[in-house]
Amino acid sequence: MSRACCVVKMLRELGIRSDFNSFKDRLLAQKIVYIAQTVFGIDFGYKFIWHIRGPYSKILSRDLRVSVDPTCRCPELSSESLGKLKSLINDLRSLGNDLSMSAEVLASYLMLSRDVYPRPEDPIKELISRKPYISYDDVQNILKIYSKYVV
Amino acid sequence: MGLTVKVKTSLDSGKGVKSIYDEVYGYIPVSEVELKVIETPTVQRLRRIKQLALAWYVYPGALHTRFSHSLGVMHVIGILARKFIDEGYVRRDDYELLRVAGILHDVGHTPFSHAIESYMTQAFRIRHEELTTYIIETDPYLNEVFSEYGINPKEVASVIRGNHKEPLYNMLLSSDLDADRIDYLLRDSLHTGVAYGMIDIDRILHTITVDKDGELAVPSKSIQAVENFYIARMHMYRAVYHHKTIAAFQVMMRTIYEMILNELGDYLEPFTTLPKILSSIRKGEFYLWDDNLIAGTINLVLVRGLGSEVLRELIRLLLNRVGYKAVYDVVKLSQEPLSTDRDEVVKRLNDVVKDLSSYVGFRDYMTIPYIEELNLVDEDLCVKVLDRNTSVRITEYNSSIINSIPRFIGIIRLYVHPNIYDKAKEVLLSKGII
Repeated sequence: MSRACCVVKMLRELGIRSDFNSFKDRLLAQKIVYIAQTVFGIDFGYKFIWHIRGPYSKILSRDLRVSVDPTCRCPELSSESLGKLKSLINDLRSLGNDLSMSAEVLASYLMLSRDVYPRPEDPIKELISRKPYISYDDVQNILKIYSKYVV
Repeated sequence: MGLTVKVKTSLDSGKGVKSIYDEVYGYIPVSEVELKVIETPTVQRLRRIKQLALAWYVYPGALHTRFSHSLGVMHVIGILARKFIDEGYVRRDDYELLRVAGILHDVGHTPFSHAIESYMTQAFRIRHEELTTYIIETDPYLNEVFSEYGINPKEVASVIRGNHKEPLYNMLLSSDLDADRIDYLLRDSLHTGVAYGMIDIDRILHTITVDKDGELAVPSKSIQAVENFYIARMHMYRAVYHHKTIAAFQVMMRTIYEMILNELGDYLEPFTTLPKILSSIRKGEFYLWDDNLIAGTINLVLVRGLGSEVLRELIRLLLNRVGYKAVYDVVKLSQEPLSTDRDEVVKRLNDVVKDLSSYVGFRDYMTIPYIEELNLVDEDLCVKVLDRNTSVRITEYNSSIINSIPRFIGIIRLYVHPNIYDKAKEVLLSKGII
């Protein structure tokens, strides 16, 4: 239960809506949690499958709907990692694109690069071939921002 | 029943080196590589694990095994793969990969299926899916076959884990309408005799397709078949998978298993800790961890008078079909998931357990809380409906009954040892809880 609470707490701190009634809102939440886990080591322990719209966790989908205790303690949410994640989200917002699209692109790129099997030779090419609604330029801009945060 | 599914495809079957008669689908043709996989001790083990653990205590016919279910999943995934090859969504070369993933998707199941898996999850934080992929990548018997036939175990495991590069392959085993669920609903319904689990598999398999987004979809004319699938799952959940009496025996089996591990662990070696289980997989000994080992050990405890009297008493009760009794039982149908730290019913249950533990003679193994939840419809991975060039999720399709059924079913129970049932009931009544 604390995991669900901490996820919702994190998303609120990032300024992300937390009613999750629309597919788009849920998609954004899924991608942000995946990015938080894989890039910033905020380990909630969710396991993601590779879905047509990028990384997806059924348990997370459930947890996003659960009524949580807002006073929960979340040791995994260090202010340093949360600050970096917040900065990344703000940078993605500054691109002017829909944030859920940018998060989907980044999370999908990350999953194609590290968690998908067989691993594609060119994750960017693979990404664009699977998501005709995104452009090569969009991907490049998003990855340029991401590169600032890679340790 | 002999339900025959006819899908006209270019990859027609009948080329198998062998056919296995299945009670649900009739003859299932098996290719050479599939036969070799099936013949490994690792897959043969599934003949000795019952699909529904102790459900036969209530439904005497529920004696079918993980083996027949795995064959069924292979068959259903093969039908879907053939159809999608014809439609251009699955690579022809991957047909065997998907069928082999179907056979192997449950090889990591513990003995007595979910009864003992719940212990594994709590004690070692591992689920059968993780054991399954570990087995596929390290089991010596399977890997000999994989090497001989050029199958990449990592790729088979990725389909089961849900991280294969082709999202559609993952959907075939991990989505609302996947091959696993299709088979277990049909098979469990047949063997229990619970008619609510029957689904119109012919219609689903003949009309299912992939929409422009790459997701599983059915034409609107098949919507009733899909709605019935969801509703069948809901009914089977209550009538079989979490039936009050069946769950009581499974809780008892888990308690006995834990007691044997604590008191007489040597009898269950080398399967007592996670590192030892993983080692047994690598050494090719995992096939010995089956229902027979656990059931035999249970008998041995009584025959030889081993362990504590509490353990032996529990075993006597189990063998003579006297299970725990539910003194508190609430089923919640809701659009929201159960919040275990805020839900009033769960809070009340925890208070009851605390109250009961203060009575003389009450011990931990005598009061067992049971909280389970089914997410009936996955809003994001649900089936889509094709209607006039559009494709929408069934949850957003106006004329679907799925809009009106609950998303979650929560079951909150307190099971107590039969010796304290009357006393526990008295306590709960006196506090106005029941």
